[in-house]
Amino acid sequence: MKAIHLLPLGGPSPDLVEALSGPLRQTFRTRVETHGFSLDPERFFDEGRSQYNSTRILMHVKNHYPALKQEPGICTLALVPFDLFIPILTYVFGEAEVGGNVAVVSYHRLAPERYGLPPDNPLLLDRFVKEVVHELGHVFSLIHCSVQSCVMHSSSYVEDIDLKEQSFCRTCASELALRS
Amino acid sequence: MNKSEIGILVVDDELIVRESLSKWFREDGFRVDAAENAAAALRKLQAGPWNIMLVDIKMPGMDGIELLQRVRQTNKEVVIIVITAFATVDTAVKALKEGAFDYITKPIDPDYLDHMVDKALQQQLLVRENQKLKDTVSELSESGEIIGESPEMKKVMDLVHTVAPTDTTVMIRGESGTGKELVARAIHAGSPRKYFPIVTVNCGAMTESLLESELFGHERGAFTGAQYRRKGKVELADGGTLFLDEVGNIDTKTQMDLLRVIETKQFTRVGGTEIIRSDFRVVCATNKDLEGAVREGTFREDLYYRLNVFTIDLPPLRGRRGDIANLAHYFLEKFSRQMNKKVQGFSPEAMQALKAHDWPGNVRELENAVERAMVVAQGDLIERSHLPLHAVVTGQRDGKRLEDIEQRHIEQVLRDNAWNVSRSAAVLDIDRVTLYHKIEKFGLKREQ
Repeated sequence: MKAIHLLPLGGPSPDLVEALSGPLRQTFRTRVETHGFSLDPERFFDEGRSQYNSTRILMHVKNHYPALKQEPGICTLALVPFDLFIPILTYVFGEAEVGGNVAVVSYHRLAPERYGLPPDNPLLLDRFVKEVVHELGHVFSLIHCSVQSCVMHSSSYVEDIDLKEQSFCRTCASELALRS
Repeated sequence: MNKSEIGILVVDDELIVRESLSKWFREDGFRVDAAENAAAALRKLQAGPWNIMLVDIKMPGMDGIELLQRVRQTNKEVVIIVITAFATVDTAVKALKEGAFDYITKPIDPDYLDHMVDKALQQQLLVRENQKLKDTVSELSESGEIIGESPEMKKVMDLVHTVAPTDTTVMIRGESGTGKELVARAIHAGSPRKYFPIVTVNCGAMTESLLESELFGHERGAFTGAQYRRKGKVELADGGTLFLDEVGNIDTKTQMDLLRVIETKQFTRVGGTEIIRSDFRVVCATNKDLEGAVREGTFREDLYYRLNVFTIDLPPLRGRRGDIANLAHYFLEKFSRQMNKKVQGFSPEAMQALKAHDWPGNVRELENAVERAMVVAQGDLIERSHLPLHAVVTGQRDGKRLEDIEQRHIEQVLRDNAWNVSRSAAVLDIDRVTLYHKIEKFGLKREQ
């Protein structure tokens, strides 16, 4: 299994990033490391939409994160606090290069307070873990799964994320074992 | 349906839209392609089956609405969702009027997009199911009546009624034109599988590789020209009946594959690895001497026993002359309705000629003779002169007909090549299947 490099960009809390490592290590049974990488978020900001272009962030990391060239076997996950979009969709929670080596996930839309609810850090972390595992699943060539509880089930709303688990269903797990 | 079997075609002049939508649907497991303009979309539509088209309204050249109109002229099945940057009531109404399923505005809410695609696929499934049911109903209503009051035909009908409700494999034997397919349809119509399709495979009309692909389907790229995955007849017969016509003409390799699928009800498409299950009943027909073929080693003994569970022998028309009048009147009424002609019946001379004829082409020949007579008849009755029976009724053949010459020539070539069919076919410059047909048609037999 490829080692996973976490790149906190634009200021996610170190506690949140640290809390991700355990579940990722357990799920993917691989080395999970946190690394620094500088990125100017304003370069990816779209004024018309007041959102950040996830595809461009993804490509920037792919082209400029030096470890990707030095260690071709790793996969890199950018973690951002911004509201992400791809041009045709109103928003995305994250984006991955299917079968590639990079992904980006935002927790902007995962926080309960965004929906007028009191802050709930365990819930935020649970959602964040699920989205991160989901995008990494795409990096390992998995596609969306029809099993509601599987982490690869497609989610467009946070309520959808809450319905699924942090783990892969049996089919996706064996697919992942085959592909990694 | 497996998502990888569902095709989505994205049509938009903006590269970023094509790329992001394609990626979005690929992550869902769909088969996706994109076209940058209407002309490219029409080409892609022609080249393969697509379930859904997402079409941008505003494109240079032919716009989305015009593309929608063009597609609808030839393709009623594909679901079209139009994408527009600024939704106005006018454009939405126009798109819907032209046959779009729905429209969405850019940027698209991802949940709305998923929901709309699901809805579109459900709608398409319902339309297809509805069409399938209509086809089945019309097939059942048009499955044809088996006409015959003779003891021979009564026996056949008794056998059909006995075997139809069971799941037993049936072999129907009889000369060409005796109505084997009609009997197969009657068996299907009387079975619990009647609301599922009866799928006919004409095994005699295809080459080895074509038959294999026809039976089992193929994956994309399985062979040159296989641009898309195609379901085979075995898969299409799931729940229903697989009717193997001219089963005696199947080559030995396909015989083995067929035996396996009949035994296990599992198979893989040509060029594929996925195991597909299909629950079907087998009814087959032949006018060949299968026992002889088994003895000669051209037909597998195990397949023969697997197929020959319950046999129905159809008598030739000359063996049930008592049915000729009924059949002739049945066809007369049928063609009167079809041609909107008011022909009341047959003159006594015409009926006598019909009864005296040998009918080597059996009921099919009789049907054709009545149809031809209906075309030329002017009055209330079909006269003797309207019937195309001269040559055979008199039994005189001067041997100068093209068919007679062809028969003699084929016989000669077969004799010259010691009845080696491959060699003879090569000399005649025809394929082996055609030569087998000719041997059967002319009733040629090797001299002992």
